[in-house]
Amino acid sequence: MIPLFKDYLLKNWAKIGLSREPKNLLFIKFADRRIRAAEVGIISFLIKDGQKALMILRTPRYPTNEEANRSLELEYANLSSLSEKLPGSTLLAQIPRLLIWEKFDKIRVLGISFLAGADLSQYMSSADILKSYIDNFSLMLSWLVNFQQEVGAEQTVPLGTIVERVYDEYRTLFPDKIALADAYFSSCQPDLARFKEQMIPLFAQHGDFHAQNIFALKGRVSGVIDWEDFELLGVPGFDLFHFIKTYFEGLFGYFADKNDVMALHQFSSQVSQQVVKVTSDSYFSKMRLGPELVKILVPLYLLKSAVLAGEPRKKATAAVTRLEILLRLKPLNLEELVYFSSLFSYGDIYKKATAEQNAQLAEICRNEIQQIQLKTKGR
Amino acid sequence: MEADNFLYPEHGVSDSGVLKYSLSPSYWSLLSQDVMKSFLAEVKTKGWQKAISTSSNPKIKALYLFTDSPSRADGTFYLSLNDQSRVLDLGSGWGSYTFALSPRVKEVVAADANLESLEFIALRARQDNCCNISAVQIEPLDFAKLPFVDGIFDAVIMNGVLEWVGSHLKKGDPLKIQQNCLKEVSRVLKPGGKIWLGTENRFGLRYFLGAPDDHLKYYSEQGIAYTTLVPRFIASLITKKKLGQPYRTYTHSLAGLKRLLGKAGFSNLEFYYPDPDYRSVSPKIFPIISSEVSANITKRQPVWFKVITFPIKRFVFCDSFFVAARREK
Repeated sequence: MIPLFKDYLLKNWAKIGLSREPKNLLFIKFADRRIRAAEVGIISFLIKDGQKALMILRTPRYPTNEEANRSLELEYANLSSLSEKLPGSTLLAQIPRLLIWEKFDKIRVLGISFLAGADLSQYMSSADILKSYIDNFSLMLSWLVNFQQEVGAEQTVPLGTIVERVYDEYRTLFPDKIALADAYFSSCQPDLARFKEQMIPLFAQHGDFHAQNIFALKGRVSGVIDWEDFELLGVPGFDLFHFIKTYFEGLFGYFADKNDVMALHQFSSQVSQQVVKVTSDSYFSKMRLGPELVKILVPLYLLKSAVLAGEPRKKATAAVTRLEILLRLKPLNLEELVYFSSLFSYGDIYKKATAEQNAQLAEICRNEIQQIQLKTKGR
Repeated sequence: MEADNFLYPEHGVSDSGVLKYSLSPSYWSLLSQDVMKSFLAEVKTKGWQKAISTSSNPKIKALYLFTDSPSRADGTFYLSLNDQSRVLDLGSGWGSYTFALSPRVKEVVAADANLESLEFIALRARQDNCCNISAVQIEPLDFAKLPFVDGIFDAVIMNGVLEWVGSHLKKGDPLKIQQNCLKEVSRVLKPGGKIWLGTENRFGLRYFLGAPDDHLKYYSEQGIAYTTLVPRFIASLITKKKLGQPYRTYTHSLAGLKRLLGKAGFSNLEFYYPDPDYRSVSPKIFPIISSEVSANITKRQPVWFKVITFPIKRFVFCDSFFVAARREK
């Protein structure tokens, strides 16, 4: 496919909007993150002209796979709609620009502009991990608030309507798992009844707002990529939730890889909770959402996450399994959610420690897991 | 695959549908032949995925990495393949390339000397309804005797195969044997068709840092280092002393591969650097002329190493290569 694409690029460089004819085209294939199932996967290439990055090419791994094609179509449609929604906005410089939407040899190809910078996960400095992770948080938050305010609230709807919408999405995708959602919501039924009619503003939602999709350069957000899950009428606060959840999973995974059970404990039970609380309070107040609503929103976030990970376009089964475990643990707020998600990393260290017959380390992990289970007892 | 694409009739067809074009059975696998046979019986009754996931043998469980990782074959996007292409996966092993390519092309022929691994491919193809896959048992590649007629493939894949060519025959110059094998590959390619090679770099950085020769690990668990770096006659003296056999698993430098492929009738060579390795589940792939290559290879090394290698940074240290080369018209 690449030789054909290369010919196209050489013939149509002016039409595509390149400033000069490419002389030395190079195609660098990115590693697959292996989050979604391979057959629905999209593969990406960075195209360079010598040293200069020209664009990103995205194409389905299996050309006739409907879901993979659907992912590209959604990304194309969402990027088009964003460029119409934000005419003249400086934010557009941080969102990929559409360059090519063609088929080569019946294979769909999406070409988008290259955004400079490195993703936020690259900015984690092991020398001062707390500082780098607070810095990342503030970068993410300021961009998200700015983006949502600039696109503006599209609608204001009763909270009950949002709950029903997400609930329906979950029920459609996981009809045999609906009891999980029911059990969770029954625990916050009084709050739900109280706030059901409260009008909530709906903001734009990226849908997959995690550290590896956010690029930074010289202390500023330089780009946000992967817009296939974008929704104009998002679930309030979902992007913040998704960032926090995936960010801490990544951080805890980093500690688990190093068997650093002390750092894992410190971050999961103390540091993260302080940062998450400050961040989420600040965000929710800016978005005009009272703190009392968060208790109802957290179950919604988990359901929405499961819907996005489990839908046929992604088939991210490992992520869905983890979300189901979190649904069972019924976290009451984002701080608890972060604390509970450390369970998976303790589990990983426990498995390694058991295999290496490190009884002491295995015991520490078992205790930590029990602590989490105790906290959720009776819910 | 239709009969008129073969030079001569097959010697037989296995129960699973493997076409047998070999009279010199050869067995090579990480699993012993007995374990393999009982595994295949499980595949027949349980289905291939369940046979792997429910196995109590860790070596079989690890097969998922080889069998269910289509991203391993993503490098083939550098070739011009479409729904009219016919591809030969030569030395198909567990079939990771075969099954990754199957949804993208008209037909994939998985060819190997190892009947058992082909049985697995044939069973999996049947269970997964992959109707465009044929499994063909061929003579070991050392004989340079493919059963196909001239010029019928748009692409030939040899991933982790070339370096083993020469090790089946115990005599003759392995370099010459590899060259003859590549000439035979060129014969079955259409004019302008391409070969896609995945192979270790003889001068890969890890070998300088003392990593054992990957291909000698199968003969000695301890592993022997530096054999790829020294002249081959010295490597042979080492392996004769330590393993009781000559050194025959030749890997090549970038220049060596250029020479070898050129002599076999290939041109328009494109070299790629798979990071971390061509066997990885999903490597990042750089064109070898890209400036990122030297930076990536040395990025995990200490400063002293970067200083020492700075004057020779154009020297290609990557641990392995992908190579695309075109059959001359």
